[in-house]
Amino acid sequence: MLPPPCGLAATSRKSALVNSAPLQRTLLLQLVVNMLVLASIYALIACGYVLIYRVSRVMNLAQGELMMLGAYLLLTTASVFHKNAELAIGAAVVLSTCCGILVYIFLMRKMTGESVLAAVLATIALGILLRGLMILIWSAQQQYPGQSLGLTSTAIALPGGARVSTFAAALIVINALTYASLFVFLRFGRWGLRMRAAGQNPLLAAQRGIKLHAIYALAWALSTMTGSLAGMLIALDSGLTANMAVLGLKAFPAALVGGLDSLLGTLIGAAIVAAAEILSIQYVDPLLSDVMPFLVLLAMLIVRPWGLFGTREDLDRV
Amino acid sequence: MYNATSQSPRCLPGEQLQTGGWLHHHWKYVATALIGIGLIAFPFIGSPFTLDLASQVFLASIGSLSLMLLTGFAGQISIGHAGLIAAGAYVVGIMSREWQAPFWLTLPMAAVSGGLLGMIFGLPSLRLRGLYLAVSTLALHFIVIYAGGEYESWRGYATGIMIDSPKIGGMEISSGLAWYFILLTAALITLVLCSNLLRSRTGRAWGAIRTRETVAEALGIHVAKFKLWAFVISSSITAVGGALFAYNRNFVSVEAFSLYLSIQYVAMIIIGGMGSLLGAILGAMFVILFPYAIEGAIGLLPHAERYVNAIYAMNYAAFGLVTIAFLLYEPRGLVGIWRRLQAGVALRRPEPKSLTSARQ
Amino acid sequence: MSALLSVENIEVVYQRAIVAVHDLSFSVKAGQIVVLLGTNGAGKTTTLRAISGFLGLDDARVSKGVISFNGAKIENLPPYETARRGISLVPERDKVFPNLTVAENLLAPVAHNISRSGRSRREDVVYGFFPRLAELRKRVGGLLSGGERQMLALGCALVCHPLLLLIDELSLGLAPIVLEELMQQVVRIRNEFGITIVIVEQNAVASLAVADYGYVLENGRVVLEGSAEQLRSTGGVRESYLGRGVSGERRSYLEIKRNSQQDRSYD
Repeated sequence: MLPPPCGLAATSRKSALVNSAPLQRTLLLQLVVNMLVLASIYALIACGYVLIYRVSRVMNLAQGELMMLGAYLLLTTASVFHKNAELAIGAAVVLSTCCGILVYIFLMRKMTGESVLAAVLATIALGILLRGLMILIWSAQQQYPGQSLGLTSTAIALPGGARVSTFAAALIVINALTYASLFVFLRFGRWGLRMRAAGQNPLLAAQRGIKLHAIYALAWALSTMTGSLAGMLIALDSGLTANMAVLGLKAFPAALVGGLDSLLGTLIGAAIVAAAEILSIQYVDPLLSDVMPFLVLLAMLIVRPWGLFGTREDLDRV
Repeated sequence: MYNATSQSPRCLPGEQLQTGGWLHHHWKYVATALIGIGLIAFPFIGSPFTLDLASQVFLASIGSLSLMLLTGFAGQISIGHAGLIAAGAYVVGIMSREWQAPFWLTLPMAAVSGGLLGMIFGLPSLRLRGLYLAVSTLALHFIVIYAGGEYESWRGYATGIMIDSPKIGGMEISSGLAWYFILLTAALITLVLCSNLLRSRTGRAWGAIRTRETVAEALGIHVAKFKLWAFVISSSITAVGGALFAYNRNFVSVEAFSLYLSIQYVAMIIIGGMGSLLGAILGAMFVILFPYAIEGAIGLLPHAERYVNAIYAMNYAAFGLVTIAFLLYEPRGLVGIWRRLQAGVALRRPEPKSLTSARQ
Repeated sequence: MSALLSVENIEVVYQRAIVAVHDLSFSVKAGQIVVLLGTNGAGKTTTLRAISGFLGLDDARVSKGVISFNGAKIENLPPYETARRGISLVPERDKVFPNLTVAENLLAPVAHNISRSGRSRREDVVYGFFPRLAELRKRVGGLLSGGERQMLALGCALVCHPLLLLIDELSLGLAPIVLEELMQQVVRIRNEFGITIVIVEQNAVASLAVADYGYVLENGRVVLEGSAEQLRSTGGVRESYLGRGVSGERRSYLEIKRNSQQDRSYD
């Protein structure tokens, strides 16, 4: 389980002893910071779900494992390029993107033409396969890629007394940058336009000369890239365990709450889920952290299943 | 075009009508009788280990048959099977520890709780087309596990809940032999239940929904209601399986119910063959026996000791690989392979190959 | 002049069970406007889709026969392949992307054999052809009227600079004036760009007015073919599709259907 973001434990202990205004303010600020960090994690992982769902209506339930793959690849590149952090991270990103494309070419591409059900089943099986392979190749021990790179997670003091670790701050920034780039790409880029077109009507897109396989491969590449970025940053911040993939599943409610085919919705959904989780840890029961996203998911399914910004109609053919 | 229902093989003109003889025409009955005799005789010729293994297969069949009902026939995917099994197990655990409830109370309660969970998690998601149930069952898993964990810590059971074996007429049921026959009977009951359900109006509606939801809707089938019904029944059966699991193990603990367990059940129906009750059973056999096969295979490698720690990872990897292989190359699963073998021996006509066109 | 497009004895099967087109043959010469006439279920749309390519969504394929285009066999190629070779289809339903603007709709198609500047010049040409579209540049596809949508669909097909344009049911949902105007534009497209055009239509009057040659389909087979004038004056076609009897009087649908089996030749 992911340890609570920097500073939370200490601050909550303090507030239990002294209930004064400045400390309350610090606590609130820290909570906000923690929510931002967690929301960024969920958003960065969840945009992968959205990209793939949007073009092909497939729920990629292996996203958590693909995210973990990025982190493990960083472990390897870190030991190869241990003097140069940027190179290591860059190489890991490139490698994981390639893995995403390979997954599409060798598995998911063969599932087009079958039903979405079959494709989702394939992603489930893929997840298990990847998990086994990762443990076989890198072992199940807790690893610290940051150590090989000589990068440590230090706390940055923020105005108001809250604190955030360097990598958590990096996560927030990178998440913002990623979403901004995706928005620009989809709205103004020619291939982004074609991705949107293929998502709306694959047959018409094909009739207009758009190669669907290229679009899907692009979606998988982008999705794996963003997910593995998230995985790497988390691993640099607090280490890498074989159980990190569960974060991938916890990020899914963020996508659903926002709407499985809306990036903006996912951003907001991640904020909502993260807020719910952090607040319930603080004020109700720390054990709720793993289950809170799913309670939010259930609530959303009852109230508005297609999410805040998702389209209402749902097809079930790839 | 294709006539997939098979009758006894047709004769070529000029041939005698009595080709193949009595055995050829009645092989199904003969096979069933042989299997029946084999099942009854098995405990007396097998070791305690194989006995337990067979019992596990029967137990798993209950879950795979119920999942097959849902996914293979009503076309919905569920990854919450572990949660439902856990629910049934916890009902047994809680009722027997808190109130010393006997099994003839806990088992029905398990069924009811399974059905309730099916209702709660099925209703919001099955109103829509698409795979929202998958997402809902994901939530089911985590919520049930959380509730179970909370109960255990509330009661202070650090490792889990101990359960006494069920008693019939004062006699405790705990021997391997007794459990073998109990679980065999349970599996058979489940099989008969599912078979009857499929032949009923409900079953035919499920078939229509699986093939083409839009068409089923146009035909006046109230799609949402039937999908929900499928999930409720499936969940109910699964929870009873979980209850039996708890009694069999005399123990319930949160750790036993991981997502991997759910995935194993999904694999059972993929590997066995979607859309076939026989497939559910074959799939259960395969998945239960698979880890032992892997272990045996590793043992054959040189320096086998080195790999001991990696066995469960090997299991994951091999498992994922086999499931993918079946999805890609044999969408009709083990049943598909069986049918093709039969076609080879001219007992049946070959059928078209596609995951979504799978039929009994 | 050899045929640009040649369909020979094709059979199209849906879901491996439903034969939509049996043994269909026709050919189209470069620069012609050919019309395929027929009622619902005659197999016209299926034929166009077979030429343009199936995507496996309905499990459809050309199970027998050959479709040749520009000397190459194209049966059972996916739509983006046939588009690459110069075939553009304006479909019957779902002609435009509903959540993209008009400008985006025109940007989305992938044009081969043409440069960026050539492409934007082609877009200007489309706006020239359909000035209404220029006014609606920012309007989302789903909010266009039937006629505007048809114009946009034609424009999108043109932007790819195709050699062969397939138009499915242009007349559906259009007012007669709009239809006439669009038909004139279709002829203009052929005249100015030399694009070969195959139209599938139920509205025989409008289509025979602009076509060079026509085929009448029934139950997935060609039952009659000829030049546009021949078809216009043939008894069978006149009755079944134009509603006019031998001497020009209007006949009822029932009468025509009863007698239709007999009139399968030129009289």
